[in-house]
Amino acid sequence: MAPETGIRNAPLLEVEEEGLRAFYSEYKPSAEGAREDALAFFSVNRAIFRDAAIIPFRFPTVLESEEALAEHLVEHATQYATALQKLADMVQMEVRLTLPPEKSKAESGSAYLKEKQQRSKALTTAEAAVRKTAGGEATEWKYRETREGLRCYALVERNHAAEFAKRLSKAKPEKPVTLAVTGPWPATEFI
Amino acid sequence: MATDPIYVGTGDQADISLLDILDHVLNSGVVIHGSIVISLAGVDLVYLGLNVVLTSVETAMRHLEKESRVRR
Repeated sequence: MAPETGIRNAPLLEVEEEGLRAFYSEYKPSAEGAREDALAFFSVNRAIFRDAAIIPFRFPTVLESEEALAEHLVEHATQYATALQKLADMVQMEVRLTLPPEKSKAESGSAYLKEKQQRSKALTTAEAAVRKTAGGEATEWKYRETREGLRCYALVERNHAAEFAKRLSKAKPEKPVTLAVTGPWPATEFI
Repeated sequence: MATDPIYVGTGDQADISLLDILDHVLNSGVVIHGSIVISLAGVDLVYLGLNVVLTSVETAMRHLEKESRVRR
């Protein structure tokens, strides 16, 4: 259920076009309280996400008017509707595989490269193991490199999210790789 | 029924939660061309200190305000 207020307690308003409903509030970005605004934005998304698949906009997304938002919805109605249909009963679970900060003791270029290869291999091995643990629960899976390691995204049925997290958290990657599971999140990686 | 985001694994849970939330709202989601969007793309925010995340957002906001003043 959508809350009544948005960022800084401004009324949460709605626009409906082509079978889509968008929520917004009047907002003037400012440096003061930026973090609190971002968290408030998340709270609104979370409240709606409890009951329905959502496609969040990046924070902050500011448009000139409600009409501009309506136009955007009309222009992209088919894409949004298709995505929401696909994601109707799905959520995104994330697995973060990280390595400790690099502290190379290599005394040569080739030794350094070998160290990097070993780090990379540790991550890819861990990713493969985690993906195997996820099994058929993840209807889609993708990952990307980050500065600290790998970030994996799994598209999972909403009702299985907690069980999925519990199962994956038991996956024990080989040291020094560590694992963290978070979710459920709106499935933005699978739009 | 979806539950609130859960955090399982190693690390300080409270820190992971807040940074994860900020990372998601700032880095994920639809981008509308032509809107004012603060992009902190290319920086993985999760493992930066929270102060840096806050500073980055506020710095970006100040930049936006400065641009708005220049346009006027």
